[in-house]
Amino acid sequence: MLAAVAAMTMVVLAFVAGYAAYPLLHAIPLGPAVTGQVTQQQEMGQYWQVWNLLERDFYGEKPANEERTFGAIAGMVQSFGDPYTFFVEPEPRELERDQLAGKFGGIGATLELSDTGWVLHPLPEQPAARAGLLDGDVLIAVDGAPITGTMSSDAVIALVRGEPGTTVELRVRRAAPGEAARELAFTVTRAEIETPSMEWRLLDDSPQTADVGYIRHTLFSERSADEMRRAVEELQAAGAHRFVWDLRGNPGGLLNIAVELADMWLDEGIILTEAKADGTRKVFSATPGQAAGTAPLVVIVDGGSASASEIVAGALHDHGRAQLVGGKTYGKGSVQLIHELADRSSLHVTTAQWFTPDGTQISGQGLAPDIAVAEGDDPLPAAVAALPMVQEARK
Amino acid sequence: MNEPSPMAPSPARSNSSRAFMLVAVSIVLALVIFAVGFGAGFGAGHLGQPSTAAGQDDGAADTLRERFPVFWEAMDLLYRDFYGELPAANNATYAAIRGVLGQLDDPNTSFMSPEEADFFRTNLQGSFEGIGARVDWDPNFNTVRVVEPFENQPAWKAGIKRDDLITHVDGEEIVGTDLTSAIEKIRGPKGTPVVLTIVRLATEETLDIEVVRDRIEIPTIETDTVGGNLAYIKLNTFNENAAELVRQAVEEALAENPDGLIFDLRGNPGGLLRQAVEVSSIFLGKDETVLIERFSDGKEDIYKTEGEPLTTDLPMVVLVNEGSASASEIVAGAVQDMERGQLVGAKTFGKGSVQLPQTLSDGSILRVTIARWFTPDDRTIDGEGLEPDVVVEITDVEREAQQDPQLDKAIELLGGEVEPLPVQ
Repeated sequence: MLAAVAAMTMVVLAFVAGYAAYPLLHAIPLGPAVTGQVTQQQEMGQYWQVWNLLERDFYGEKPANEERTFGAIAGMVQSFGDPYTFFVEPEPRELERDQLAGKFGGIGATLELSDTGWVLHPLPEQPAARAGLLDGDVLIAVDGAPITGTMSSDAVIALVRGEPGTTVELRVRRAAPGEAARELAFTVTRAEIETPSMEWRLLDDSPQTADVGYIRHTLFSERSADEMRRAVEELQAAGAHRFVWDLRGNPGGLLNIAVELADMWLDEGIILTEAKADGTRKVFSATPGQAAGTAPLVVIVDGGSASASEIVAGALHDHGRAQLVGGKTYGKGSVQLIHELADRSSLHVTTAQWFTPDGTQISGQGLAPDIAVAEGDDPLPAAVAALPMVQEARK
Repeated sequence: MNEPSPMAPSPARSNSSRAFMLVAVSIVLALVIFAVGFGAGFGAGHLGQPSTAAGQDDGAADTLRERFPVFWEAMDLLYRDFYGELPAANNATYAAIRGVLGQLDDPNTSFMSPEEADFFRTNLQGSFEGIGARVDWDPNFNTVRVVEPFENQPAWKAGIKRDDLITHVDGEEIVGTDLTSAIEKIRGPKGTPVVLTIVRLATEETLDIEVVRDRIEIPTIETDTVGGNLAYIKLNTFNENAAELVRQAVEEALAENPDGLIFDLRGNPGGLLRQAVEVSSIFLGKDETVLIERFSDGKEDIYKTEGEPLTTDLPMVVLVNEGSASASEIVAGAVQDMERGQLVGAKTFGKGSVQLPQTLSDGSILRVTIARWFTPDDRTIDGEGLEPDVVVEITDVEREAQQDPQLDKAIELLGGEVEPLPVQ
């Protein structure tokens, strides 16, 4: 059902902080021109006048055409007055695409800005460490492009990352204690670096909770559905009969993943209804079968749980499948399409509002928890207390 | 200072104690509020270039699409898919224009929609009632910043300070709006109060300050005798009478045989370039360079002094501060480079560029920086400002106590007497 949408344009329940993007394999087929576009082009005549006047008269350094275009798009997009509709330049977009994919081709090192420039911290067993890079090496060039401390982390990372299996040449400055700094060059073969969106464990530090599987979920990335399947399997194998799904601080992510995850915990019924600008409505429903049967579930939320987190929480709540524990959610009830533009920049466009199964619109409202826990208090004990005990038939 | 007795206020610093001889009073128009971005632009008038909107759109959408494909791609997607109210087409255009201007790294190249242009036209004429402060739009904080609260005017009296950010007017947020609509809210009839919510970055304070609006009348020129026998002339704006008024004031002062002259350009946002050249001509020798103006195409105009100077050797100090901009900086820069006198005070604003207003086809106005000014020694003014020969800052405490250490320093440099403070 979702495949068609996903193939064309990724649907993302955008992030609170407003970052970017997802890869499109194909250019976006544009729909028929809407009325008003012609007018729009005429109005843009002033833009063109400005452009020419600047070319002719402006005293000072003129930004490159590309930068001007970015400025114009960003300005134009801002006039739509929607914080979730925004433009992302190519570099940050690449990183966000990686983030939503849950993996990227990289060298396995973190970067830190210091007085001397961008410093590498290679992770053990990863390509950078294996190639001989050391903690504290200062990056001075990537594939011949000089790196300075004035560059943004996005810009540096964009140069370092690439397809897994390809190589990247890094020049670094290394200062061993008591020695003059030397410049060294390394060729590193990029590998697939995974960025998990979930961690899970059994709450077996106490016998009363030893059958509770705890799933910490930080982003609805492409890998989240697989991770949830693995989490449930592994936790059940370890003896979990009850589950806590922690969505605190989870800003959302991909819509199709939110639907897939909610479906794993619902047997039937509406997950959400989407209302588009053209008045059409689209209902997303659960399919029969649940990942953990009827095992009790509690969802932990807070003010940082937004968007896709709220879809899941709203659906499970409305169907009585899970109680919500914690604080009121963020309240982002709109859906964005992320379009990749011709120059690999991207555009987030709010295209729909969504409603919970009961028809609740949560934009600006958020979902109130069934069991409120004061901010700063650990909600986990309350969450566990809200889980009914399960008789273990197998014993 | 180690003296147990505090320094004295000079005669010119307290409104109540000094008797101004007001050579002329004129209502300062837009300069009172807009000035920096706008007032200095009067300088463009001398160009005598017709304000034609060059680059008329050829109307060929195909050309636009070819040269600007990603923009159109984005716009098509937005108009096709956006959920919510679509902006008026021209607003999207204006926003795009502002977006491009934002990439220029030049705050003086600016755009006004037809409505904003109308507002400026209407409000630049006639009398003016408001809070008596010069403000500008701060792009970093996306709100109004106070450039200069005018001495003894309502904002100044209420305790509003330079660089205060105004976030709310009568409780209504103005962050993220625009200069025009913010000014409309701030201004109002004489006698009416307005509560401004101020963020003062230096102290990280947020304050609600009530200002009672007044009719803002600032004299073009103020004169006095200070420090015993020193002539004091303060010029508040370079309007069309400025040079004539300064000439008259200097003539009258010279008749008294003063020991020196203090020319106060503090808080003077500038005005007409022609007036700056004529004012400089009063103090500098004949045929001296006052400024060099350079255009984007490399063309260069050199402005020289004109007519007979009144005094080229009377010891002179020019007082400047952060509010001295544009035409003020031309005069101060020429005086400094020609070693005609010392600059005393704080670093100047750094507005040394010329904007040419161009009316676009729909009545909106684009003001493009087309040239920059350089002092006789070829120093750039724009973005830099002039460093005084003697730097003297005024602390808030001194300001509140109505002390003026900058003026005191000028008097001292010219050998005048700094009066002791009366025993309290």
